[in-house]
Amino acid sequence: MHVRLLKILLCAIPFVAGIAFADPLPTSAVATGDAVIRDNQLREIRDILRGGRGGYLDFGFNYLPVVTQTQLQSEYGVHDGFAFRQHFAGFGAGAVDKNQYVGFLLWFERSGWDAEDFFLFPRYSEFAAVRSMTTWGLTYTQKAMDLTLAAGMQHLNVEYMGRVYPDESDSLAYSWAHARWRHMSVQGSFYRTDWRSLRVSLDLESRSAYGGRKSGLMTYLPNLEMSLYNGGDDGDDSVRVKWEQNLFDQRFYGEVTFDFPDKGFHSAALKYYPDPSRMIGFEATCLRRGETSGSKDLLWGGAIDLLFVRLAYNSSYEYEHLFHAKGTFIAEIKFDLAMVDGFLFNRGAARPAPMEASVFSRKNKDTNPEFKGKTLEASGIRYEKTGAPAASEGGK
Amino acid sequence: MTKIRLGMFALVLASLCLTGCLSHWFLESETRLQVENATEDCTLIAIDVISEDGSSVRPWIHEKVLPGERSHVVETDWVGKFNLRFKFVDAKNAKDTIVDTQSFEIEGGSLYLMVEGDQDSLTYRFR
Repeated sequence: MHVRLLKILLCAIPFVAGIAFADPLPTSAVATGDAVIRDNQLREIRDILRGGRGGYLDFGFNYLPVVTQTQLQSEYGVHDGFAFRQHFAGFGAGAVDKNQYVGFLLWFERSGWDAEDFFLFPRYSEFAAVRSMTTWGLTYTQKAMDLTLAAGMQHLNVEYMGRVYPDESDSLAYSWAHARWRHMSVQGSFYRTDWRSLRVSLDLESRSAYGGRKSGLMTYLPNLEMSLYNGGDDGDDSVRVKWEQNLFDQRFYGEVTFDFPDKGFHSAALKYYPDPSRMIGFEATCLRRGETSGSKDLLWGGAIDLLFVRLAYNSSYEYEHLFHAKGTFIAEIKFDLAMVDGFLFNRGAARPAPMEASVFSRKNKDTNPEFKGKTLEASGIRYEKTGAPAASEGGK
Repeated sequence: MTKIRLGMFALVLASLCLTGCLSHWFLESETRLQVENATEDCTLIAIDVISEDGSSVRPWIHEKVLPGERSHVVETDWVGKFNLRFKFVDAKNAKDTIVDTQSFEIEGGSLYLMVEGDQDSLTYRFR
């Protein structure tokens, strides 16, 4: 009995502490959230268009039970309320000809800060900031050449902006284009005639999900990404470089990002996926916040990703995508699944999940070598001859 | 088929309603404040929310509340931790202004604030 009580206490104390010492979100982080969403959506689209075929489904929303977890720090003080992020995404491509696939993709995210965080019946308090971003596009893939082209629009809709935020245009439409040839892709985002961001990715790692290798040296090649952001009229353009590296068997990955020209180290992560399909993941992250100097500036955290639920504490993803939320456990109820050629995996994975079908085909191959390459098909209605054929032919 | 569609619709609706913790439905995200002036010699004329650096001010209750009187209830979105600035004038000559700034944790819902004491020491308590 005492042991159980002790166990409950041991679990409860860090959890309560993890909620009680949460830091409020700065209004500046909430105000600049739209650029983060646009970039994130395009990066996810890049990951999904590695194949350019099949489909993808994603949804998720943050789940914060306690009102002190994501308070807002404005010039007036600390406001009780919730940061929220609700997103869904879908992509599907069908074959229009041998080797040619045409598809449509739609990404949606509604996020911000409000005194209540429901998707339906929003509260829109005086200090709320609520916006949504819709990205859609058409894709074309040539399988034989391993080429994908895609283009579309990104619509920003500002639902509500409180008085503590700088003025923001209520709706903006950005255009984007994406081109991939084999392991290389280029992605651009534009506003009218002005470029907003440009990303060059070299996904050199060989992925069996897209017809690459399951193991061997080729799977240890790095994934490099260089993003160039337009700093606007009064800011300098900035560059962010990301290096993702398979460290062991496509289950253990290392990630590091650097900012150029002058900021240097931005973040690093170690990620472990028990299965290379990435349905379950564990990550430890370190992020430089750029607020103070030295080691005090580093934010150490981690997250557990369990297909339907993600639980994070000080993780770099939550810090960057949930308006600098830190010092508290953040749960996200989520689901995402990508499909290529009937095989399932999570976004970004190198290998599909082992499935019944693959086990079955392997078994078939092993035990019935005489069936190799042969297929038997039966379709339609089979008539059997009964009685005299003349009776049913040319009837009157 | 229609049943399945209705079921799907109900499921989607239910999941949309659950986008926040259910306890948030019962959360007070606004404050209804009423002040009672229980001082002996001060007339309350204004309560404002003042920014931490003191540069900007947002009015809350602007009403003359004589000693022993109560203000109207004013509803706002201030829920959290803020600095409130109280402005009084001397109840007798109505000229000497007293300004007092205090930090408050405001939990939301209906709040009844009592201002007590005199010009030399003013105290505040929620009742």
